[in-house]
Amino acid sequence: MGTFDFLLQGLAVALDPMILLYALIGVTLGTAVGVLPGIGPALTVALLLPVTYGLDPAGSLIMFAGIYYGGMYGGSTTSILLNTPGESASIVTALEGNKMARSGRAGPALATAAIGSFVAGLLATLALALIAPTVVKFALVFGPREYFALMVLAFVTVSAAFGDSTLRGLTSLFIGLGLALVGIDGLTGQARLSFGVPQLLDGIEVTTLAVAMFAVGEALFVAGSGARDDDEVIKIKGSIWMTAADWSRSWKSWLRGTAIGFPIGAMPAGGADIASFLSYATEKRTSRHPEEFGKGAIEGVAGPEAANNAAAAGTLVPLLTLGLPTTATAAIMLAGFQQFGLQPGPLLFATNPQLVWGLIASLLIANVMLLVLNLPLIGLWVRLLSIPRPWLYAGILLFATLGTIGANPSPVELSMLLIFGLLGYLMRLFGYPIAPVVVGLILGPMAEQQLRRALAISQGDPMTLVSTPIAAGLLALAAVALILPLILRSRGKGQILSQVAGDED
Amino acid sequence: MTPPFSRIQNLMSLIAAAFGAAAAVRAHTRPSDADLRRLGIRAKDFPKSW
Repeated sequence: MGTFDFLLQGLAVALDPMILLYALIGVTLGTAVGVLPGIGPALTVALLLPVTYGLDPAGSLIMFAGIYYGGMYGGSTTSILLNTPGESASIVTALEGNKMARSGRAGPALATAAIGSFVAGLLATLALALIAPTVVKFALVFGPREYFALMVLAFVTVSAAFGDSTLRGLTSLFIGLGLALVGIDGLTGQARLSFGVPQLLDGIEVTTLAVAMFAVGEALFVAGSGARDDDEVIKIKGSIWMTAADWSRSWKSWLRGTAIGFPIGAMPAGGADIASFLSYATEKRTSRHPEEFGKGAIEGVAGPEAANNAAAAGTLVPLLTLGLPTTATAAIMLAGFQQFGLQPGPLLFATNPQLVWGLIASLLIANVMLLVLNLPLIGLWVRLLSIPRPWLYAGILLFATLGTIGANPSPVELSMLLIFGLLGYLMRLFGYPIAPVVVGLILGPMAEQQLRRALAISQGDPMTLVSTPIAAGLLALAAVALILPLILRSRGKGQILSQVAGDED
Repeated sequence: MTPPFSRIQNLMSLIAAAFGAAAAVRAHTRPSDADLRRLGIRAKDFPKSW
């Protein structure tokens, strides 16, 4: 069967009324969290993990993906109307979008953001459907050493290559890997780091850690950072629709944004924020009206908004085909898959094609839902901003606690939620990324298993880890992902320093 | 016309600036003025709430 047939099968799954309902809940929640500053898709998906424990796996995963897409859509609203980005990928939208809103063109700014997100989401999802089977074919030949190399690549990309400090990223990763050791060793049956606590013999629940780090820790951090409540929302005046000139200036930017966002999202160490920054720089360089940038150029909204949505779809390529999370939300989604006993990767396409293709097809439908939800209902989303922030944070903490106790009713689990929540808060406070902790806990046991399996097959010869071109190539790629950002940063700084010196001359 | 090597160098430093700016915003801090300048963003335009 070809990709098109699989996609049609997926559409049949996605058009099931219950699946449509899950997708609708996902995109609605996603848009809401995108609108609310300080609450991102990662936090929301983490919060829903324990709640969806007993629900339909396909529906839950579709809901999670809907939240991811919706978060990207909704983030533009506060950026444009409030100059307060809902999440990092929408920061660039605020640069031109808010200027447009201040000059009475909030409608066209919101419209180009929503339509650009729709176009990019649609094209990028189709690209995902076309590329995924090829990656899966390539990955089907993977053995233990290739999988181990892939895990190492994942570790490097989410820790060292991801944040602003390699050391801090690696520290976070090793906290996660340390936590992954807790419990019974699957190979020898020995208890490790359980300290005589019977509940720890099963290991640390990924769901509890994810909720603690992303929901409790994040809510405490945002609440503690003293976010202001008195921002003024710019009223939408005139028509929300775009003029012919707006259309002609936007469509190329949408396509360019998609072309930049999708590969950046799919590559290890990429992300929607990198894509949106690059898209803005590209739009400014290619625009026929560069003088309008900084005063409200529509290309500066259209390109980055398309880029961040395309990047979200791009993230699903390594996640679904290789089980490789490249962003925080993808890491939580991976935990979501594992919660249902599913392991994303090439085998998932063979063993559970209905789920995978249903998920991909649902994203196409979710895009249409998002366009309908966002443009006509913009007034409703803006009203969400009037919810007092303390209520929001209290709600998150309550929901996180109830969800965790509901899934695992035990005082040990509740204690872990509080301890890890506090750890997450302290890590955020001192600038340590939290995604690597979760990735370490999720992928650590798998990496250990594959490493031990590979070494057992080779009778303990460590050279087996680099004995095939794929394994050696992946490890080399991990080394490049570790070193390249450092070189790029130092090169960039050198370049800028010489430019500054030139400017001063 | 810009020589190919300079183009590659410009592209590299643009990507570096995007990585740098993204790393900063992920940590909820402001990107450096140098990274913003390289990306064509005026420092005063960057959202103050971030």
